[in-house]
Amino acid sequence: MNPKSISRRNFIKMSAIGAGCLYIAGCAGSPVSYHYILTPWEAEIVDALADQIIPPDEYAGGREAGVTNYIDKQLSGFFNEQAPMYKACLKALDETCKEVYGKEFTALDFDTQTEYLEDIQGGKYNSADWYGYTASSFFGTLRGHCMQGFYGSPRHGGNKNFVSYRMMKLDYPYLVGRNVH
Amino acid sequence: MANKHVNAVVVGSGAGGGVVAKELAVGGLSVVLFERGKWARYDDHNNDELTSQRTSTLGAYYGPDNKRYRRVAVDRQGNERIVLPNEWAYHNNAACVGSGTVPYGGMAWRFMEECFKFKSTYGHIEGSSNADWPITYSDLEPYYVKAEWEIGVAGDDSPNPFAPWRSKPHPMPPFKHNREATMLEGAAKKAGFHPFPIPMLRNSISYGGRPACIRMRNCVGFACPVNAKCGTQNTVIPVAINSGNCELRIKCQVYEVMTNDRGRVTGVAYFDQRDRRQVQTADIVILAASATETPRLLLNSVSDLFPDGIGNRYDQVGRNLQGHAYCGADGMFEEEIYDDVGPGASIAICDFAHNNPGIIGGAMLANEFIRMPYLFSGIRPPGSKRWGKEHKDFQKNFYKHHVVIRGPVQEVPNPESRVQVSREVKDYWGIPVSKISGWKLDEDVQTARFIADKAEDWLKAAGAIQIWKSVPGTGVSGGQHQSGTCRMGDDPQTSVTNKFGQVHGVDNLFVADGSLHVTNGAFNPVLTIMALGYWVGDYIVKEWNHGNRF
Repeated sequence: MNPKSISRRNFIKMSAIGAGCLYIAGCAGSPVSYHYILTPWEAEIVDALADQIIPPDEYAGGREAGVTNYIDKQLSGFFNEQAPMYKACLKALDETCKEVYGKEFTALDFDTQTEYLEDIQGGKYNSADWYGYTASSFFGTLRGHCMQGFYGSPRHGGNKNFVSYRMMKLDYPYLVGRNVH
Repeated sequence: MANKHVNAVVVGSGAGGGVVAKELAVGGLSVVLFERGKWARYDDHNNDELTSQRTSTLGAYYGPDNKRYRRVAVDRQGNERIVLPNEWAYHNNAACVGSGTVPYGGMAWRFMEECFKFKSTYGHIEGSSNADWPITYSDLEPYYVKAEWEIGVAGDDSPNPFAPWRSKPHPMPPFKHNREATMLEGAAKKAGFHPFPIPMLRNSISYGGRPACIRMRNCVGFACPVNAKCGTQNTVIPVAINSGNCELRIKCQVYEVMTNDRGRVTGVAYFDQRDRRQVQTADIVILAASATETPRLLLNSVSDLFPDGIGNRYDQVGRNLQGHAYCGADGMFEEEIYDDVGPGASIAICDFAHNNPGIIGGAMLANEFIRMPYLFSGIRPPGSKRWGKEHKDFQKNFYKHHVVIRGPVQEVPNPESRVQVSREVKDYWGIPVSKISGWKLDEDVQTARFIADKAEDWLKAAGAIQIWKSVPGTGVSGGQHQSGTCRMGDDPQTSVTNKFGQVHGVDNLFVADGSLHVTNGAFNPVLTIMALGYWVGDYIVKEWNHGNRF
C-alpha cells in the first residue's frame, strides 16, 4: 500500500465519522463507503472518471482530491434531482464498455478509458439506450461536476487540502486582510 | 393586525429602491421599504465560488433561492422551459438588502450624452423600438453627482477625452492599477487609445465611515468582508432607517399593486416572512423590483379597470428588455501577468463607446475582473481539450498568463424582447412567474464584432501571444444589466411612465429601477439606476412638499 492510499483511507474514515447517515457496507476488512447516494461500485467508477477528467500528476487527480465525495454530496443535496441519472448512466456506461471492450470500465487501462470517454463525448454512443438518457450529455454534466469538485471551495467536499488552488499558485486558505501583497 | 398606513411603499431595495426610500424618508414621508431577501453577510459564505453571484452553480447565496423561485424561458422557436434562479436563462438579480449592489463589481459609469439620444444619433432601425430618452444627460447630471457623493465613487475621468462633462469631481481618488492594468495602460497608449482608471463604487480611501478596499481577488460576486464596497445596503438604506421615517421589511414578497375603483393605487399586497397574506396601504407606491420583476408585478395586478395589468393599456409593460451584448477578446501572455491584486478590473477606454463610422452604438472596453478557479476551468482557447491532462496543464501553467478585455455593447431596443407573465407556471406562493422571450437584433451582433476587434487590437498592442475573440449570439439579453421594460417617455402609447417615472394614467404609482431605461448605455448601468432613483425621489419629495398628493 502506498502512502497516498493510506492517507485517503484516513480521510475516508474521518469523513465517515463526521457524516452521519451513510452507506456502510460491512465492517472491518470489507469495503467501506462513506457516500450518501453512490454505492461502492458506483463510487469506484466515478473515482476513475474523476481521474480521467482531472488526471493525477505532481498534484492530486480528481479521485484523490475528493471529486467523488463532492458529487455524492451534491447528489444528496443541491443536485438531488440528478441522482437517478447518475445511477442509470453509470450502469449504462459500464454495460456499453463491456459490450465494446469486453471489460468493466474500471478494468480498462487509463488510455483506453480516455478513448472510450472521448467517443462518449463525441456522441458515438448516443443512439445506445442509456435508460432514457443521452450518453454525451451525461458526460457533459459529469465533466462539469468534476471541475466544480476539483476547483470549487473545499467546503463542498472536493478540492481536498486546497489542492487546485495550490496547483494554480494561489495562496489558500484565503484569510481576509492577510493575502494582500 | 392591520399595518399602519404610510405615505409611500417602495418595492425592492436595490440600486433604485434603496435610493428612493432614502430620498423620501429624509424628505419627510413615512416609508415602508420591501425586500424579498435578507441581509447578506460575507461570513455566511466567505470565499465560496460555487455559490457566488457570478457562478451560482450550487445556488446563489444572495438569492433568489431555487426552492421558491422559477421563471419561464422562451427560445426563438417559441419553446418554453422552466428555469431556476441559478441558471443563466433566469436572468437573475440578487435578492438581498441592497440587491445587486452587494455582490457587484461596482463599476460606476455615467452614461454619455449620446446614450440618452440613441435614436437621434443613430436614426430609425428596422424592427426596433429605438428612441431617445425624454430626459438628457444634463437633466441627470446633478443626480449622478448625488449618487457619486452619497454612495461613494473612486475615480478620475480627466484622462478620458470622451467623458461627459461633470459639475463636481469624484469624491475619492481612483484606484492604483495592478500589474495587468499597468501593462494594459502602456499598450492602450501605444495603440492610440485613451486609457483611464475605471470609476468604482468602492472605497479607495476611508469614506462614509467605512474603510478602504483591501484589494481581494474575491470581490465581484461576493459581499465585501470589510464593507469597502459601496452599495445601497451600507449607505442610503441605513440613512433612510436612521431618519426614523423608513421601515425596512425584509423577507416579504410583494405580489400585487392594489387599486381602487377610481384607478388610484391604494397600496400593495404581499406575503410576509411566515407566508401570510398582508396588505400595506400607502398614498403612493414606487416599484423598484428590477426590469424582470417590476413588469411582472404590474402585469399580475389585474382588475376591472386594468384588465391587462396596471399601466399596460397600450401593451408596453415588459417590452424592450435589454441587457448588454457583451463581447471582447481573451489573450495569453508569455510572462506572468497576474499579481493577485484584486478585484482585477481597473482600466478602461471609451474610444469606441460612440461615433464609430458605419456602426450603431458601441461599448466602453475594460479589463475583466479576476476569474476564479472554477470559472477559469471553462475558459480555453478554441479547439482546446475541455478535460484531461491538457486541460489540467493549462489551468496549472497559464492561469496567471490570461487577460480579458470586454465591453458591454449598447443594444438597440427590440419590442419583441420582453417580460410577460406565464399562464401556467407559478412560484412557491402561487403567483404567475415572469416569462422571458425575444432576441437581439443583428445590429447588436455587428457592433459586438466591431468592438471585439478593438479588444483584440488592445491585446495585440500588449504583446499577447495568442488571442481569441468572443461575440454573442442573438439570444435574448438581460442578466444583471436588465433594463428597459417600463421605459420612460412622453407618449403613453410607446412608453410606460413619464419622464419622472410616474406610470401614465396612474398618478400615484412610480417606477424607479432599470426598467425606466429607454436604452441601456454603452456601460454598466448601476450608477444610472441610482441617479434615476435620486431623480424620481427628488421629484416626488418636491411635489409632496408642495401639497401634491398625486
